[in-house]
Amino acid sequence: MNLKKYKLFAIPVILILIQFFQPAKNSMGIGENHIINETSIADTVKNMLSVSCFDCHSNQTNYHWYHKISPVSWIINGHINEGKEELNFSNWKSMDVYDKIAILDEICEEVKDKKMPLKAYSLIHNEAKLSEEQIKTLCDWTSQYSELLLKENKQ
Amino acid sequence: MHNIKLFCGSIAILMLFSFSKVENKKADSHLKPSEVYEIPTDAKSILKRSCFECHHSDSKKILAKGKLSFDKLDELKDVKKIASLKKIEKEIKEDKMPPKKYTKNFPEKQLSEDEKKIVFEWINSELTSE
Repeated sequence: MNLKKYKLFAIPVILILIQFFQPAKNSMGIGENHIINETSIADTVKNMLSVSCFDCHSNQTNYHWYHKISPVSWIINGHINEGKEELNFSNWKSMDVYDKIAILDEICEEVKDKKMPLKAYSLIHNEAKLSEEQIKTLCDWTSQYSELLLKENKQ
Repeated sequence: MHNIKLFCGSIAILMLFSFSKVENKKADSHLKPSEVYEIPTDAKSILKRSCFECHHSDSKKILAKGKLSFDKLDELKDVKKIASLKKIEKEIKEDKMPPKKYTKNFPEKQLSEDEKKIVFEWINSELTSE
């Protein structure tokens, strides 16, 4: 009985204590190498990327109130680190042209296969879900933009 | 005399016909560069040993060859070929390919650091030629 009481007391104490341990925030701002500064990309595409991708694939995450609560903050931080390791749109302009072409191809594959945005993310951020029409727009853009990058590289 | 004319005429027609066939072949080989596309021997022997079992048009692994067939690389559009080459490089660099469960049973399929270097050199030469 005493042990049960102790456990009931320990859980909220632990939950309060872990709130003092928060990961560093991903809020370095929009740097000059961010894809958003790429003038050749249409605003509709930039908008889609912003709503569905930038939270985990750039140096600027839009945090909500529940992101500040541990252990949610740790889980979110893990997703952001993983996402940025794969692709960081904040470094876009400084990237190698062949890497860009490979990434554009992968973006289309991932959204077509519904692997991105992550289900867990779009469940909470309903606006991040991509419609079939948006997926087509995104894939048309990746294809045209790749061709443009290659053409520019050859010149 | 008439027979000679007929004979010469037939020869000329036959020659024209055979020339047009050669031209067609040339045109075909231009349309299907994979028929003449060759990966350099050193890189090819590594890829053949470690990758072709799944990533070749003769493979029985439909999913894997659908994603990538090394012998069909040159049939891809330039941007798709670049993307495929970069993906091959990334997967090998990160030791995702060949898959661990495959190399566990066939350790000889694992790529050594020197072999990786040869493959990366081939990828690099392909990229710069694009």
